[in-house]
This record gives sequence, structure tokens and C-alpha cells, in this order.
Amino acid sequence: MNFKYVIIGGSAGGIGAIESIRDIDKAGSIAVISDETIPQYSKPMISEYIGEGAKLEEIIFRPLRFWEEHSVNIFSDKKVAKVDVSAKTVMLENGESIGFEKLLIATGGKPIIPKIDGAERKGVFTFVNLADAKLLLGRLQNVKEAVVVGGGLIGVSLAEALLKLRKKVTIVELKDRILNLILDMEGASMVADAVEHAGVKIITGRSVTRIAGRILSEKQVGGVVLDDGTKMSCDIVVLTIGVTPRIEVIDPRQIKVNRVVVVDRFMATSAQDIYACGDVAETFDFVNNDFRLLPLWPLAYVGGRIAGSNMAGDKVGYPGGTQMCSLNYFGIPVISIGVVNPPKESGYEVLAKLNPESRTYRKIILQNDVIVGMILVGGIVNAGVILDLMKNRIPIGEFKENLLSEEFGLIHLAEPLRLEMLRRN
Amino acid sequence: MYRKKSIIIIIMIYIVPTQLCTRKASSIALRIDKQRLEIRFLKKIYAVEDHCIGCRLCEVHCVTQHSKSRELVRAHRKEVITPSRVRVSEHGPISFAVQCRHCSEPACVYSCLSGAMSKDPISGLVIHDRERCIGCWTCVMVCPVGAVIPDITTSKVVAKCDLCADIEMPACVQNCPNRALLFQEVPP
Repeated sequence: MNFKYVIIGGSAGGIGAIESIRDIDKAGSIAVISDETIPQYSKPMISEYIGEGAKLEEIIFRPLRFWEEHSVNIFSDKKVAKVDVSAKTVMLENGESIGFEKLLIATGGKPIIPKIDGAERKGVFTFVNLADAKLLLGRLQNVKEAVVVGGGLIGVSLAEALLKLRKKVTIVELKDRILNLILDMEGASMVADAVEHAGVKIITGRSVTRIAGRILSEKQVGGVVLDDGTKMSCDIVVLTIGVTPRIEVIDPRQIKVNRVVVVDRFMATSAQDIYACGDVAETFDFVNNDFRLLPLWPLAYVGGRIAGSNMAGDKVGYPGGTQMCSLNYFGIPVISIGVVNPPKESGYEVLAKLNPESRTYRKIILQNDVIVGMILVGGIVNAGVILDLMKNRIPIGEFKENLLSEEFGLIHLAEPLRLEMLRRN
Repeated sequence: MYRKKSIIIIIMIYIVPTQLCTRKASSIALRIDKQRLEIRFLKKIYAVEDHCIGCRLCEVHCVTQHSKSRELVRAHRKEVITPSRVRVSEHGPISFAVQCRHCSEPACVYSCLSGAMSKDPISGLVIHDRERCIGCWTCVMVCPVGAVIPDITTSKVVAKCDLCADIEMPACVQNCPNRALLFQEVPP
């Protein structure tokens, strides 16, 4: 079997690529290979699947007829064994081989599983894809207490979902605060207050060293032991430390890999006609002006669109993304973009305003008069206006004094820029 | 004008009883209707800041138009309303109204985690599906003009301009007392 375009992975990146390929090339054959049954669901929504009791149709990112509508041959439930760069084929585990003219590697990430004594016991879960969510949901009925290891985005979203199901939840975080990659101490403690107020216990600065068995059935999870010796009983442990790129189908001698797949601004890898995007590939970071791993859904989708355009013959460069997250867990809206914890004495200027009464916090990080990062807690209106100023590296000059106002918006910009934005098409 | 033509065509359908004519007339009616829609879809709302007096009537009428009854007083006093999809900003002597630009490269659509935001390929409208929205507010984070409004009454969704697709002229434009909002094909 030969196809003009072959895409490994049918999630955000793959879908983005298909949509942009079809904008340009209506007829070229496309094949998608995915190890999932229905790949087009929204990964960030698997916590809704748990907590809200959402059905599969409700967490679907694109409709079930998506593949058909875009004339895509979907190979679902199929695992890729190897990509053969010189023969331009993808070998599947079942022995089939699929030839390609252009290939996109959008395999995504897999959960990091820390080496913890007892991690093989029944009741230890990961939480990255729908299969994980289904396994976890199947087990939840008799669960009273859960320990979530890792207080990042996934951990906090899962804690909220488990709390909705009236489970007793404890988050164990190694660093000194939850959400440490996207928030500073002030922001994290505001979120932590809301999380704890809702009933989740947070333990920071600790790690789980052992997962203990249950008294009468050693194979089942019965509790955890922390590095300071504290023992806690629980029925399940969910490991949400983070994700790592799924690069096992790639031969690093043929495609350059630097922990993640190395790509250029056109999402092209070091091998001709092979592209990569999403959690498996590097993304250009417009704040730091370098390539890095940014495993975020919106960036994967846009990376996929860029890859697709280039695969279909256009020459489109990726303007770049950066660390950017919007979360609305436990009733406290938070937006975090770019550099949020600038190293001290490094030429960064920080503007910040904390209002404990209204539970709002606003922090803008500047470097050479350009915005390079921000944290908004509580009031998030017009966050995108600031992001656009960041992307276009607009000098803040006269509107600097207004940046900390919750009313800050287009109105504060100089007239030519303001008019351009108002008439944007 | 188009409305008049369609009425004449509909009358023709009724008074000319031959099958052939009926078929021809209805295809003309369809074509005209499509043309009317296409012209509407080319139009966008443009704010003229020199004309804006900051009265916020656009916001009031936007809320009314998107209410259950679509009656101004009843909507504001008796109904659960969603936030205005157009927002008036004021700073010193300047004021203007901002609403969704229905961008050709819509950041909100490209960033949506649930697939609730989409760009309609025919009309070019950026459409928000409340049913599929999870209120993560990623669209609020990326909208370059700040036109996606978090709906804090539900905390679950956003509200954004839909160009009042089911009426002739968007309610904010229609009710602006000083023509500070224009609905046209080219920027003023």
C-alpha cells in the first residue's frame, strides 16, 4: 500500500496536518496510523471523562465522520514497528508495510513512570490517554482514597475530577509548590488555596518512595510511603509526573533526535520528506528564540497545520509558540505564558500586583522593554491582547503603566496599532 | 432589494402553473438567496472610534438579541442573560466597541481544546458551540483583540460575536445611535 501522505498519530498534530493538507490538496491520498481505536478525542478532556461522566461522544475533538469527510484512510488500533527512511515505508507490528511520499511523525508522548518500589501493584495508573482513563474509571467504584503523584497540569485536573466523584484525594509534589513549571510562588499558593479549600490535600517537597500492598492482598495497592517516612493509606496511585516523547519507532541514525525529534521552522526533520510535530517534536519558542519540547495541545495542532502545509507543497514557517496554559480548575481561572519565573539579576523586570481580597494576581515579566511572560490569576480578560504584544515584540513604552490594570486592552495601544487590530481580518 | 425579488419570484411560482416554470423560478430563488448570504458574509463590523460616545447601547442590544425573549426590558429584568459579545473600551477621551474579527487565521479555533470553536468554510464565521465548550478559556488566552468573553455566570463557556447571523443587520450596528459601528465589506 502506498499513500502520498502518511501520518503516524491521529490526535491534535495529525488532525491539524490533515486539515491544512486538504486546504491545499483535495485529492492526494492520506493514511493515518494510530494505536488508538478512536484517535480523534481531546486528550485534555480525559479528566472530563472521569469527573463529569462525559461520554466518548462528548470528548470528541473532531466528529466521528472526520476521516471520511477528509478522505483519509484510517488504520486504527495499529502499532507502528519502525519507520524505514531509505525505503520510504512504515512497517506495522502486524507485518504490513505502508509506503509514503511524505511522512508526518505525530506519535505524541507517553507517561514518565518513575522508579518506585511497588509500582507494579494493581491500582497504579497513569493518566495520559483515553485507554488510561478507561482503566482508571473501571477501577474507581470501590475506591475511597487516591494519591496523585505529581502536581502539574494533569495531576491537578485529575484531582478535580476525582474530587467530583467524592474520592479523598492527596497530591504529592516533589517541588515546593504545585504547578511549578507554569506558576510562581504567589500564583501557585492562590491555586493551592482553592484546591485545598475544595478538599484536596496537597503535600509539597516530598516524593513517594514506596507503594505498599494491602494487608490481605499484597498485590493490590494499600498505601504509599513518602521520603520522610510518612505512611498514607490509599486504594489507587496515579502517576502524573509528566510525558516523554514517543520516539521508539525512529532510528536516531536516520532521523536526528535530541531527546525529542529535531525539526526546523517548517516542521521538517533531518530526513528528507519526513516531518514531525506535537509532543514528539521540538517547537520553536518565540520568547527564548530556541527550539524546545513544549507538549501542549494547541501548539501540537498548529505545528500539525504547519507541517501539513509544507507536506502539501507550500512553504510555511512556524511563527513559534511558547509555554502557554489556561486553566480553570476549582473555580479559579489562571493563565500563564512564557517566562514566569525569571532568574534573579538577569535583566528581567517584573511588574506585579496581588489583590488577596478579590483573589486576583497579575504579573508581567519584561526584558528590554518587551513582554516575555505573564501570570494572570482571577482576571483573565484580554490576556490574548498581551500575548499578541509578546509575539510581535511590541515595545511597551507608553502603555507600561496600564499593563497591571485588569482593564488593559487594545484601547491602551498607540493609535496605528490599535486601528490595525480593530480592523484585523 | 433582494427580499422584494424573492417575493416576486415566490408569487411567480404560485401564478405560473407549468412544471417547467416552477422549477426554473425556484432555482433562481435559491441562487438569489445564496448571493444575498454571500454578500452578507463578506461584511464585517468596523468600529469608528471618532464616532463612539461610549454609551454602551451596543452591549445592551447584544445582550437583548442573544436573550430568550429578545425583548430589551424583559431580557434584562427577568431572564438569565449571557454576557455581551461586544465590549466598549474607554480610556481618557477615546472609546470604541470591540467584537470578534472572524479572523482568517483564527487563533481561538486553532487553540480550542474541545473542538467547540470552528470556522465555517462557507460563511467564514468563527462559530462557538456552547454545548461542546468546557470553559478552559484557552481561546481567551489567545484572542489578539480580546473578543472572547468568559461567561462567569456559568463558568463553563465563553461568549463571542456571531454577527447576528439570523437577522439582516447585527444588533449592535443597528442600534448604535451615532453610526460608530459599520457593517460593510471594506474597512472605513
